[in-house]
Parts: sequence; structure tokens; C-alpha cells
Amino acid sequence: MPQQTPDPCESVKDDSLTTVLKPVYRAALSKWKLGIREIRFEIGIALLAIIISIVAILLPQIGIEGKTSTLAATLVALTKVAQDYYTRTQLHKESLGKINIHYDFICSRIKASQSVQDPQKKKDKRLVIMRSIKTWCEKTLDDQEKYLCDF
Amino acid sequence: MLVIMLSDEDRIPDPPDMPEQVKKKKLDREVVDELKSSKIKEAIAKLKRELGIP
Repeated sequence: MPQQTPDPCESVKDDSLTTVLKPVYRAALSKWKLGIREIRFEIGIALLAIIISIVAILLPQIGIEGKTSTLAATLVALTKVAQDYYTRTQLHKESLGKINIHYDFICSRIKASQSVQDPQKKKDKRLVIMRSIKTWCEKTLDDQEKYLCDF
Repeated sequence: MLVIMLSDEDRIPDPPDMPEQVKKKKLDREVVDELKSSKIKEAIAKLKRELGIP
């Protein structure tokens, strides 16, 4: 089970901006999590292929000459799978971290905008935040899904 | 066109980049439903009224 992290927007009192921001944040998280699932699936397939190769090597029907080179090739493939898994998982972890920082940042801006006294300044600040949420939404969603960012 | 002069403290950095491969993933049904919900529509309408967006 993934560990639940506290929502940094929880401390922001009820605001329409956070109502719009939260699903955009969840959409970004959802896409990255699907990406991680895909990596795991690919790695699973690769490991299965390697296991099949090892079993094939160990079968007595296969000639002795073939064994060493096949085993070496399997080990190289295994190393590559491990490296690929590590690199791509790290990239995804970093990206998830960046998403949380970005979300936290926008939440702090929303909180700050709530206490601005000058009505025009408040409006300007909130307009900037709203546009930023829209940009994030558009940068996260695929062309077919962009209609969901109509705000 | 509306132009807003931003001070440094108002600037919001660009969102993290998302590779096309990840971007193409189909959203979970529940996330789509959430984005299409009446709660979001009401919040957007309220914001537009508040910010004077037609």
C-alpha cells in the first residue's frame, strides 16, 4: 500500500481555487502512477523472458557449447533490465516529487491570496493562480482530454 | 487583452514536464468524473464571476 502523505492544501480554508486545483493534481498523479505500473509490467515481462532463457539453458537437451554464451547473454540482459528499471523508476519518483512541490507551491499562493486586502491586487493574484492551474491541466492531459481544462 | 504586471513573488513556476509517453496514459475514470463534476463546474463559475472573466 502506498504511504499516504498529508495534503498540503488541507491548511488552506475552503476556496474555489483549491476545488479546481485538487483534481488537476490528482490527474497528474494518476498519469505518473499509470506510468510506474507500465514499467513494472515491462520489467515483469523481461524477467519472465530471462527465467525462460535460464530454464532453457538448464534443459539437458541443449548442447554444452551453447550453455556458456547463452548464460552470459542472459546475465547481460538481466543487468540491462535492472539498470533500466532503476533509471526509469528514479525518474518517476523525481517527477512525483516535483508534482508535490508544485502543488504545495500553488496551495501556498492560494493561501496568501486569501489575506490580500486590496481588491484589485487580490483579483490579479487569483487570476494568475487560476491561469497557472489551467496551464498545469493542459500540460498534463492528452489532446483528447484537454476539454476537461476548460476554465 | 488583459495584461497583469507580476512581481517576483507572484510568479508561479511552470509545472513539471511530463513525457509524451506518460501524458498519453488514459486518465482513471474517477479522475475524469471528478474533473467533470458539478462541484468543479460550480467552482469555475464562481471563480469566473469573482475574477470578471466572461
